[in-house]
Amino acid sequence: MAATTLVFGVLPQADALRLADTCLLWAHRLSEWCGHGPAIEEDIALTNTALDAIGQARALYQAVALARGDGSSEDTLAYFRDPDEFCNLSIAAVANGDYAQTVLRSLYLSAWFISVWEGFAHTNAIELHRFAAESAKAARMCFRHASDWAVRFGDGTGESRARMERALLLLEPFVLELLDAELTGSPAQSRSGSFRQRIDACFAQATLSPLSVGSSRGSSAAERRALLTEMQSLARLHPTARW
Amino acid sequence: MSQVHDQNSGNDWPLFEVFVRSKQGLDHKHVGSLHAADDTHAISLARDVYTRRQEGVSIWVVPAASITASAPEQKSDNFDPMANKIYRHPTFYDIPDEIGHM
Repeated sequence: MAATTLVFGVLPQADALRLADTCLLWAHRLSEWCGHGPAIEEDIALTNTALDAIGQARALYQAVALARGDGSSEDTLAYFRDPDEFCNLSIAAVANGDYAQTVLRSLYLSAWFISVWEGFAHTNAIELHRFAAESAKAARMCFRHASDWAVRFGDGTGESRARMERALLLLEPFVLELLDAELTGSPAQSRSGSFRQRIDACFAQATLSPLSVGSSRGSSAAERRALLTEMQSLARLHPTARW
Repeated sequence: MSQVHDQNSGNDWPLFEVFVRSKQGLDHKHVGSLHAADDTHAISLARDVYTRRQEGVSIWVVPAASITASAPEQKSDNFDPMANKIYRHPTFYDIPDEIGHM
């Protein structure tokens, strides 16, 4: 394998694609709230998070395409791979559900991304270092927003707490993957420590039970297929269109 | 005097007025308003709604209900320029050249 197949000079393609696919599918789920948010201000906040995640996905896809040097582009990677070629974390493709479930997914994924991006703080690869530092800022903003809502729901009314507890149950099968996902150059152990610390602090403030990690692993493959069918349909119908 | 009231009665969240300081050393300027559950939430939303394009270095939010405004019907009594009352305008002083434009 030639050295140029590494993304940013250090990341194996599989790792870069896992990060990019996770960003893209999560961003698409967030974008589904556009025009449907509980208030226009929240709508804008979710859309901003989605745009940040799409920006990260684009940077990673571009870097992967460059490393491949085979005519791939960010668009071929996003729109012309089949669903089973995507290697996102499963939680990213799960359908939105209600606002508590959307908030909890954002809480988990932003905490995970903080641990990932901050894990690259000491890399010697300059491009990756710059990209990770920028992305960590966006992840911390998203975590603050999601954490604020998790506390309001958990420590709010009977209804809001019940919804948060339901969201916790629904997403529990996807937590294990957040704790043990392998990424080269970023040990799972230190990432899961950082992840748990953030989540535990938030749940304590929200008066929720500590993070419960099931042994089962949920699948969101069917939801991903439906999402990609919709997301990719326009590009596949008009492959030469420009906009 | 009159209180500034939230016109949007269908929304349970109170209205906040948002002020952004664009650069160190300048003053905070009113940029708009938003609905939020409380002051912390208002700051968080203000950042998303009003400062995504490097508009600012600092944000203030103020509950709109805390603002007391002059009554619109007193506008002319309060603010008409009274141009005929020349003694209200300091036009009889010569400004030394060194002072420049005031």
